[in-house]
Amino acid sequence: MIQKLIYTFFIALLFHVSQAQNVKDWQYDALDARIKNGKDTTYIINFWATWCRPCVAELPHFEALATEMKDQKVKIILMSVDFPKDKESTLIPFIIDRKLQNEIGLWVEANENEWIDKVAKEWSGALPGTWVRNAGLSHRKFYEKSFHSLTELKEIMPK
Amino acid sequence: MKSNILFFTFLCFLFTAFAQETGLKVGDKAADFKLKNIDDKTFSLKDYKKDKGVIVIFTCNHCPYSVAYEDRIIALHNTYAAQGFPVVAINPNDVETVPEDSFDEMKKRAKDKNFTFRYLFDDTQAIAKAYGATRTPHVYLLKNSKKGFEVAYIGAIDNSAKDEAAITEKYVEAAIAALQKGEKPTVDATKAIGCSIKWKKTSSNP
Repeated sequence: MIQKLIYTFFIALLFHVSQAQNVKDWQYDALDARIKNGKDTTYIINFWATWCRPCVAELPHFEALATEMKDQKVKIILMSVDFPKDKESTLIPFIIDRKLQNEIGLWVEANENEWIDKVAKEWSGALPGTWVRNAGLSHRKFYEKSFHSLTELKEIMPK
Repeated sequence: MKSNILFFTFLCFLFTAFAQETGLKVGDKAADFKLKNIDDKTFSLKDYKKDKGVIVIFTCNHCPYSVAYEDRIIALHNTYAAQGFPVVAINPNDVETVPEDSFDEMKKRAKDKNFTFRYLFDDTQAIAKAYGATRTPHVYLLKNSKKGFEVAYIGAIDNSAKDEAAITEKYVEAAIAALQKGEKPTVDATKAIGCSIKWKKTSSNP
């Protein structure tokens, strides 16, 4: 019995680790292409970092939004701007610990002065920031702010 | 009565719209400050009137991007203070939100890292608001002219926070070089990722 429990525990652990390690590196062009290929899917890209307190505080609202929107064409990507050197030591343990279900990406684009403007001219670069895009609706909006509830977050859905 | 409420709402809206438009732009006269340094003395722009300019950097203790830039900020001061462009670091964060950014913690950090520049505490956040700073670190390079200090450059120190080896543009150094030649910086505004400034909680900012 105990053996079986330990076995189950390790399988669960392995599954968790393999799922969490699937954090893909992203750059602007690849993300832009994915959004365009998604046609009428609404992409919600939340730029965050494990060390950014207001970002961490609003993550549960993005998790709740995903649950609520699961039958709709909505894709949430939690795009971490943690330093790439901290991916294994900090980001992945954080994802496991918080049991995050949304897709996680690691933003590895280098020249900040260029890519921030490409995402949104109106964004100063402060975190958190949330980018809403829907290629089919030509919808493109950026929110340089924190969301304090699911209700507040739902307001960003294209109407 | 109803129209009063409507009018008030309108005023609030105007104020919000206006508040977002405030902040300094390149060419504007720099806002003066009167803030306490980690040595408990108070400093303002008047204390820099003999300098050619000031590298004002909104930064703090806790933010990893600020920490990543600490050595580069020290190096900037060590290189440019002697040339008349000292660094003035200003911490604008709300201590309630981030206890590590308190005045005592600033003193500790400055001692541990041997800060050679002044590290001021903007405890009312009025200076960060007047400048329009949104994140840490956020640089405002001021030029001393006959009319007083004016903003010559706003933005990042360089174009690679994460990896010093990948830096291809050193914006602040290039802007100072231009000022030293009596020219305007070619690149006078840049963007960078940073920690949002932790504003004090109010009814409009829960």
